[in-house]
Amino acid sequence: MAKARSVTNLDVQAPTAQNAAKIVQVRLAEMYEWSNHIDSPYAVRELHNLRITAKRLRYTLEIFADFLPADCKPLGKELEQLQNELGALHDSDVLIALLRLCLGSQDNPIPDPAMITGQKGKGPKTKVRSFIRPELLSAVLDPSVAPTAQERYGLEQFLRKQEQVRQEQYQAFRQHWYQLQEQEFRRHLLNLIGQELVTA
Amino acid sequence: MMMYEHELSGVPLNSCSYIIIILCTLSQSGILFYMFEQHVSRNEPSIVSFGLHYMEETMEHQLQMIKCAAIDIGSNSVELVIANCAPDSLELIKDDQTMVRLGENVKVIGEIGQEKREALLTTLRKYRGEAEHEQINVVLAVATEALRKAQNRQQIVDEIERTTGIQVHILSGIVEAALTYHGATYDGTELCADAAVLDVGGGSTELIIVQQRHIAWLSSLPIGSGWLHDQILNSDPPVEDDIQEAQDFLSQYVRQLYIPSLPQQLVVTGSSARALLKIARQMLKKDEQDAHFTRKDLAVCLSMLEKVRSEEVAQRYGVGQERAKVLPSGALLLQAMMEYLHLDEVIISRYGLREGVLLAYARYGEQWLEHPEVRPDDSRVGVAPPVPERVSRNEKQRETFKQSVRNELPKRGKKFLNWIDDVLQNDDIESVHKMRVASRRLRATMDAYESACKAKPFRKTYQQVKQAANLLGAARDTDVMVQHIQEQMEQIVEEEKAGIQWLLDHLASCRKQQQQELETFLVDFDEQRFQQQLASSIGK
Repeated sequence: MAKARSVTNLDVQAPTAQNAAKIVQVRLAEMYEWSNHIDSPYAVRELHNLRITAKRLRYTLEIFADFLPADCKPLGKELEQLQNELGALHDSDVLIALLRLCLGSQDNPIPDPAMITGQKGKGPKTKVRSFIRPELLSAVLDPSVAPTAQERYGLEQFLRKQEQVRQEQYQAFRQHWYQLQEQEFRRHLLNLIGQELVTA
Repeated sequence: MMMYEHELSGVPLNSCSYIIIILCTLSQSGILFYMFEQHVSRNEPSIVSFGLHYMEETMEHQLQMIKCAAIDIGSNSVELVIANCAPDSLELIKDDQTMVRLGENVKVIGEIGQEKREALLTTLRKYRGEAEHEQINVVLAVATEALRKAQNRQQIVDEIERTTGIQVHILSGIVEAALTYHGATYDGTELCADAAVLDVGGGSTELIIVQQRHIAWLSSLPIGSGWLHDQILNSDPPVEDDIQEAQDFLSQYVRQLYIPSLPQQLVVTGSSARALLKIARQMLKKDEQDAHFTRKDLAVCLSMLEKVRSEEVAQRYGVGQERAKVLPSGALLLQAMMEYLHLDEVIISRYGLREGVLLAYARYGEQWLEHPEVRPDDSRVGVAPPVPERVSRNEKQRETFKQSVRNELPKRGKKFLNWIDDVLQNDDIESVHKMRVASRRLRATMDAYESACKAKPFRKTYQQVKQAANLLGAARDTDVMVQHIQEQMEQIVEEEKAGIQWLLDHLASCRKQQQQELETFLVDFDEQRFQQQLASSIGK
């Protein structure tokens, strides 16, 4: 998971507004570190990390709302929408992986780690681990309760529909992301908080 | 002429008879009548009943129905109603409202500024014109919270009288509450005798508890939809953190109210409540005549209002944009009151203060503002809890980082801990969601303030929050997945359902296990120690 970076250049005796701007600047940079994966629809882990960093930036804007310009609030709303789109995408990814495991486990009882970990992260520091929780895995992979032929049929159909849904979710997110870039989201926020662009 | 049905019942009539009623005396208080039975074969009619009928209501309706106008100068809107009025009935002729948002000005500068004053005078001139067009002489104008609080209220009232000829009465919160009660319930055919009334206004909220159709207790709270909007919910649409803050504030505030009894039924009035009903009718395709408004309706409206900008709300549902801006606040206020009063449903009345003013005038004449039904004695007046002073933005701006960590971290920590009992009760999956969000906010706050904290206690606390967030996240993710699958179930053909059910059954058993792990963690969670650690992180 994309860990929050420590913000080092803060002055605890200085006004909060001044420090808040620096923290927002770092959180914004953290989010944009994952932006080169936007056009990779199956960069599951990287898109998930983008979601986490977007959420952290949004919460930072909310926590410091009283200290930042009021015009930052609509930007927080955009981040919330982005986070919801990426959240729906991630939920679909987990469900699809789970369905594939349910259906694959009968033929191959030992699940392929690649199916449950997604691609290895190419972005900043990230641990590779399953994005399906272990208790969820053990609940559906118990060989004593494997699905019957009829149940398998239902699961297969559901998997197909879910893959379609996922495609639509990705398109909706991507479109929104590029809209924000056209509106110069990053530049706009940096201007509001009076900070320069920083990169990782 | 009307007669009461029950007064004719019980008179056995021959099938070949008919009734003759002769009115003998007509007085202001009633009619002396003789009732004869006339048989078709007889010449002499026989008296079957006689007596004095008190028909005050009917007679006075006909004799005293007068055309009046009432104007309500509120914190959000200035509203007009023109009606033919009798003590217990109104025939509405005209209804108009204009959003002026006087309360917005009063909050910022403590008085009504020039721009708002002009908007108010323009609106009142227009209403005066409408009243003249209807050939009305009696224009009753009342003002509520915004003018009550404005330092220049007398100047405004004088200017209104000088330029429009309208005399404005600035009502106390209590008189406002009493008049609202009379207005909101006058047409209440389906109301029980103990139905309470709630008026969600712009600058204040009135609650009236009723016993046997008489005001038993009433209070005027200095919080309204416009007030809440200006204080906390001033983003469009409101941001999640502000919504949470508003909910926390309202829940704590209304808890300080001490009402004599919980009402069985609640009638809600006010333009925001009516706009919410209008939206719910469109979103949920509800019957246009149905005035019932449930918590579910409210949740649907709130969920939309949290996401959609006021401009779009106004376009989609046909409400004014200025009204749409304060609707999230109105909805949260209503939600807090419904929760406090343990009600799952309310009835939204089309009527309120303006109609109460007209009825009071028709009933009590020129002394309408002095009557005990309008000005209840102090024994029936409930104390409104004081509103805590909110630190102004300017003061906040001066806070150092070290000072703000002292305010923020304990506040976020408390919000996180507040959900433990609800999660342990395990009767609403939303509690897990809310506690997870609180844990994420707390983590984000800790991430932000890390450099202002002491490393060792900070790390310990952070680990605990992280552990809680993971367990809450696991449970919440399963809830979301189950909800998503259940929603899909409705569109799935029969032969595919067995597979989906298989998955749902396995998810349910997994969720049970996750709840157990979460409960084990929370039962052992030492809240006091956690708060101490958090405090040590901040240092002195």
